[in-house]
Amino acid sequence: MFKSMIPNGNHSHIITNTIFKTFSRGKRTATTINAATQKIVNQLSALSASRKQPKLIRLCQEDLIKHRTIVNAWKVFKRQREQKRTAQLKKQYESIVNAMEDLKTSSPELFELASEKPKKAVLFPLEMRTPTDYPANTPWIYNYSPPAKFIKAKKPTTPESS
Amino acid sequence: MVGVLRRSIVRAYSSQTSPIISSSLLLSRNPIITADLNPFEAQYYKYQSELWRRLMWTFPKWFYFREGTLAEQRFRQLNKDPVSYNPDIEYPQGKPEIRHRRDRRFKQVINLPKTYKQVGEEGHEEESLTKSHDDLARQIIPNSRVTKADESNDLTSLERKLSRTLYLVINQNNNWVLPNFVESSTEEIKALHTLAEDGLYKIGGEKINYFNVSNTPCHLRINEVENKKEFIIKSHILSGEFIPQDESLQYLWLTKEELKGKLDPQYYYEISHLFSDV
Amino acid sequence: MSQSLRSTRVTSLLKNFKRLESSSSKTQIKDAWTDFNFRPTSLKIDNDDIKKGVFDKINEQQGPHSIENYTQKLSYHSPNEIDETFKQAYEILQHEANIKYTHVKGMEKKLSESNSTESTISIQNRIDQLLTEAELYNPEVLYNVEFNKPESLDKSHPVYRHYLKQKWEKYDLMITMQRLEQLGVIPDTLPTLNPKADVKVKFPHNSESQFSNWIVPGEVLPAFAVEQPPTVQIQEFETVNPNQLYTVIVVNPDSPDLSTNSFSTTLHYGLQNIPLNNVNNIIDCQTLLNDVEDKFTFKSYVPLLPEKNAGKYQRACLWVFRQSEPLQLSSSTISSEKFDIRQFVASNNLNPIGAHVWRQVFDRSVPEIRQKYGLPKGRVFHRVRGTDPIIE
Repeated sequence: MFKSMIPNGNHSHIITNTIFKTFSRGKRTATTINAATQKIVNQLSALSASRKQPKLIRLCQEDLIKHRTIVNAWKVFKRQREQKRTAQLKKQYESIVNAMEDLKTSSPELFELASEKPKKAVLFPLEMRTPTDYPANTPWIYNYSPPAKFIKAKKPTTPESS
Repeated sequence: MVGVLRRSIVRAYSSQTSPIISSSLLLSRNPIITADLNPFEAQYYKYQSELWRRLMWTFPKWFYFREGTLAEQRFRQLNKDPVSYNPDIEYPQGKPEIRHRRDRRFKQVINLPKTYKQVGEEGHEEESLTKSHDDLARQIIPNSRVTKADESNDLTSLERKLSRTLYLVINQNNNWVLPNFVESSTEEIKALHTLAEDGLYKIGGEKINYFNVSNTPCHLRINEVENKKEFIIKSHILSGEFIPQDESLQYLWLTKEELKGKLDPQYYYEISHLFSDV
Repeated sequence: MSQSLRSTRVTSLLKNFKRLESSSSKTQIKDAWTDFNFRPTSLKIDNDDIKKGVFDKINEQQGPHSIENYTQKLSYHSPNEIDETFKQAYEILQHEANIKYTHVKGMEKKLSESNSTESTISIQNRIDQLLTEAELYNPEVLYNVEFNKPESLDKSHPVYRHYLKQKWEKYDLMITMQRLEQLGVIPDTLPTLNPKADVKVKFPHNSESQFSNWIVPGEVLPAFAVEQPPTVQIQEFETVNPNQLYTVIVVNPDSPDLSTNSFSTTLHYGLQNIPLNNVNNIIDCQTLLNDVEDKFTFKSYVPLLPEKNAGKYQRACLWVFRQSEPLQLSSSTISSEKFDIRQFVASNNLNPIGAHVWRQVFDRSVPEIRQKYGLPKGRVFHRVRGTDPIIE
């Protein structure tokens, strides 16, 4: 009935389809999503929190006290370590100041040399390693030989010593 | 500045009372592996990680193992489903709450299929023989944190106590001390750090990759016995080895605690703050 | 010269250091938190089952004792590793407490030797501070503070007072100060207040719970609810000197003063020389019954009975003072009308430590209570139209 009312043509074909979809009452067609959409749905479901969150931890009175005690002990532990470190750094700083003050009076020339700023910025050497959890297969490199230029500069009298 | 003649200083030090300026070397080997955890620290981290695992979101298995594949089958064999909830059954330890095959009251333990056979498993021996060192599927076993030098208690080795800072001490007149260098009678004056560096090469050979922390001395120790002012210079050894040039020279690489036992108590007390606790 | 001096200083330092080490190891206290020989038993968890649950692993078959519901009890699961971690944490904290208690012992020795009052007070304060620090992280104390009623805590121990003070500062103090400032009690009565004590007020003669509970500062109360003298609780958080005396007054800064077309302050209640301490800190009818010779009361209680249309609200401002010496005030020397509170505080050398306020309006119960107190029938104020024209 409707079909007959719609003029023929390329464009009209789509319209008929949509109309039929709207009017197919009570009839269920299996909805299949295409593969690309399915993939996106899958990816989003991996990210989303839905049905993946655990139950909240609700501690009983005894465990709450235990937990607080643990946190308190951790705070005390960290604070003590930090205080010890600060005290040591302070001592080190004071001993540097003390040494330099003494050097200033006992040998001004050496004081000049000791407080001289290097012309080139001193960088951390590349060979310095960051500590790792487990050692490398060779924990220490023994076969180091200084560059030839360096030896000449350091020891002009015995260049062949290395 | 380096070209200043030493004669003028010599004149200043001609009287008997003025002490000799010398530089001592605090040569350290920095830790190679991370610091050992204090027992409480380790236990606290364990507890925190347990809490973290308990509050972890469920592992999206369907994302990593597609339904019906061989990998998914292997994964299912390793990970058994938890006890499911049945309303007709009484659960004295609480009702299971299953979402996505995980009981959300507990942490989720995930076993992943392994590419190798474990110790004790059948075929482990053959596999370890056949699999090469570069095979990506091999089992990765980290190197031990305890080295051979630790086991033999070789105090002169640089490979001992990898988690600690080691300091070089040498034996001088039956006393363990930091290596100390006095300027030999050259005309030019030498900066303290250069003096220490050259002195080190003289006693320990030149195969040392040496990094000087600063030109500034970090401590002044007054040695009354020898009428000396010892300025301590901090530095690191990065690679290479300390090889005593003199056969009779004894040296040790020690941690802070070991230094306490070896050094003279008075001497240790004066310089103990320079040593690292780690 | 200077070198030798320095070296001797170092040697003496070293010797001192060694002596300190050896002396501290001699009088070291061990396991302070389990030793109740020198600590009060109020630092213990009273319930043995709960105590067992805190210090041992909670039995999965029985569940924690603190949960009452049977099914909830059985379905409870503790976090993993909590007990092992707790044991180590307890050891660390107890070790700290041991050190603190060793210090306390030294201070107590000093206290017994001291003779000037000033040094005694400073030593006593230091001991209180050390005791607080020693017990601050004790899990049993934490439990009592968290889950027991504040009334049941032992206020004679500084650590409980420390926790009560924290709690008070978080809520009650803020409410009180807000009401005092917004209702203009400060500065209408006294210029300011540096709060030191938690002051609570209730009228226990009421039968309705609405009026018989502790009242919130600023509440509007009907006249019948304030008919009888209030019960006042003054919780001090510092250790109270055993000879400390307190003064409590209630004033109304909103009495209409027709001669100046303004308001004046009236004194409604005055108590003096009340001995209180950290534990016995309530002024109630028992105190007043014992007061046969008017030792405490210098102005007997008359409730605020606002007359009709006499202002919007009348404020009953209760002030608590620490006395510096015993007072001899009597009703004959102090007139309650046109009472100058600032002059009263200055002349008697009083130190305000806390305040409270409630408000009243004219209501149906006022005439009856006026009669009971033998007061004349209240006036009724009417709006007086001025001479100015109504329309500008």
